[in-house]
Amino acid sequence: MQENEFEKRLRQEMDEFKLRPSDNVWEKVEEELNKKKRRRVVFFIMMLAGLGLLGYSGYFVATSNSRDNIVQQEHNNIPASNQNQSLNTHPATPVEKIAVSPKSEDQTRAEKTSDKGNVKTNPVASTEISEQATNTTTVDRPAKPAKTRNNKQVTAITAKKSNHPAATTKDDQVGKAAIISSELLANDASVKGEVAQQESAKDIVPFDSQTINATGRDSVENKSDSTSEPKAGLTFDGTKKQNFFSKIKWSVDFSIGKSSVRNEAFSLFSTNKSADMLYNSPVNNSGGGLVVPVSPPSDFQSGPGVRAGLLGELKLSKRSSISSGIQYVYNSNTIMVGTYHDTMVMLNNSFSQASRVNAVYRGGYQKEYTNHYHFIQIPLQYQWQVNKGLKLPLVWHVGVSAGYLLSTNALLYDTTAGGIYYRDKAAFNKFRFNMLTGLSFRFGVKSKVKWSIGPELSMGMNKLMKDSYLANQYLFYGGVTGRIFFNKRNHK
Amino acid sequence: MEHQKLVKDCLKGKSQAQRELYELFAQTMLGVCYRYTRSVRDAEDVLQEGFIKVFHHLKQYKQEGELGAWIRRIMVNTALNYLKRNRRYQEEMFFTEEYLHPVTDDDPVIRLQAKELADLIRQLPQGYQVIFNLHAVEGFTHVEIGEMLGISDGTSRSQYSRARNLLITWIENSVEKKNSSYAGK
Repeated sequence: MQENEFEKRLRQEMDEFKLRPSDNVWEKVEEELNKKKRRRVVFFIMMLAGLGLLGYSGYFVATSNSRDNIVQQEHNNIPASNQNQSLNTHPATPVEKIAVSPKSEDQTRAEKTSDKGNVKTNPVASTEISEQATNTTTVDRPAKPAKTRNNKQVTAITAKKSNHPAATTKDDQVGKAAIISSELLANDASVKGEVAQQESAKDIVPFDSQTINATGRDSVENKSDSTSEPKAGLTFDGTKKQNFFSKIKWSVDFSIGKSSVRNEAFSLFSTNKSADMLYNSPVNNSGGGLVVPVSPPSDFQSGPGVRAGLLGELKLSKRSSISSGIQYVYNSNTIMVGTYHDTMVMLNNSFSQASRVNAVYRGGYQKEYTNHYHFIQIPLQYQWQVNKGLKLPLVWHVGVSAGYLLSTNALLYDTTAGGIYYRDKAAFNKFRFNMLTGLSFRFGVKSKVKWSIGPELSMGMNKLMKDSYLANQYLFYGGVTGRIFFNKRNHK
Repeated sequence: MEHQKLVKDCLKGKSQAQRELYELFAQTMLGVCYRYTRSVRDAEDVLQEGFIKVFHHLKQYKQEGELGAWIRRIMVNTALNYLKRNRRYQEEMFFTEEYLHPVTDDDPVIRLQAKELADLIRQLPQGYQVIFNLHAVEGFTHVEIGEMLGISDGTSRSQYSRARNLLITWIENSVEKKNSSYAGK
């Protein structure tokens, strides 16, 4: 039989050769496929949770910031003697007027006595109103039953400028502040609610000053009017920003530990054997690409990992907070390689593209090579104090981080020419998503220098390598994390 | 056309389509995996790993060529990677130029069934087996195999020749044995 005939017949026979696989093969395949789906779902849920957390904290910051502005404004602008303001209802007028002006105690008393209805002085109300109108603003609204915070039915609020000397000295600033105050009144539901709450409990007083409309829905339309007649004596400039940052606890974050590569995401114990093994392209137009390696890929050994950054922490409640910032991350691992060769090699290490490398390390166990990875990342983490005491708070944190690969010298394995290592930056995913969790003890809560320390784990959620490289590599990091909080007076 | 729809459905994540695709090719592909390994269990491991890769990378199937051929290539590569990962296979993956045997003009009649043939191929030393499979069954040239394995095409040719001669001898023996058993009956 001729050679070709033998091969031809053999091929025919082999093409028809079929074997029935056992049922558990499909079960395992299906399980693996479902696992991937589950991972996507987990990732999606985590993203949603992250967004929710972000949204909630944003809302929290916005609302608490408004309240703080009120307090801040009152302290900044109201003379101590004038902090006791009254809010009166004029029985004759169809419009409720909430007068918030830096009246002296005598004035207040005089107004109280002139009132026909109930005379109430609510310090909370005066505080909250004073945020929007400080000491010289009157807020008018239709004479409707005042609603509570929940039903939010404050429909028209008119801010009036008083003849207070403070208002006449800085007209421009005052006008701007009036706009802000009316916007705040219109937009900030919680503030509106509080205004309304207070209205129900306070008296309404007629006011003889100029009026600036700050009607809820019409506030935008009325802006121009307000701008053309800047009258209220408010000075909001810079206050909001200052308050927001004053609520954040800034800290230097650092961590030192070991990093390695896993074959599976979220895995603490999956093997790191052959994790750097790349898979040759099964689709190769030239007919090449199928190889039998002489030198198998090296196992990964864990290497040092370091992290440093700046974090801002915002308290959500007594025991919980969120933090974010920016961090530099260094991870590494070591592999064993053979000799270095300055030679060009063509590779087919992806499904679609062939690539050329100019230098390679032969496979083998001659020397150690360290793969370095440098990232910059933005974490978003939630902290929760596990114990209740303040003596030694134990804080559990969990979060996610989005990172960008700045540089790497990591080698890739390919079965070409019996097993080689080469560099190809294009093989790596530039973006990395991590999940992190840890525990830490916080020290010096009552002293000037506050710091924390504890263990932390960080697991890669997406592959280090691009999908087409078929290498399941997930970075894993375990270490000790510490934070030193900047000393700040208003840290609570 | 039929395959295209199947692939599209698989890409949409439809479990039924995935199962269908598996059923369509699993038996043929197990035949491929079987030739590269020493046991059915190993062959099934390769099949499983191969199909996971198929489904994970199905979007990269260009729909230009035959789907079966694309899957087959993945199976062959998975099998080769499987061999190198397992030490018991690795130790046998040894290529030398020690044996130089010319291609003979022997004329053995292949009267064996596919399964028996596959079993004989599997009995070849691992290095021979790989080259024999790559050349005789998958259709790669010796130059291509030489480039792939980092060996000379002459080495590939000689190894193949050795494997082929060995296989022909075994086939003849098997056929003789078969004939004598039939005669005995």
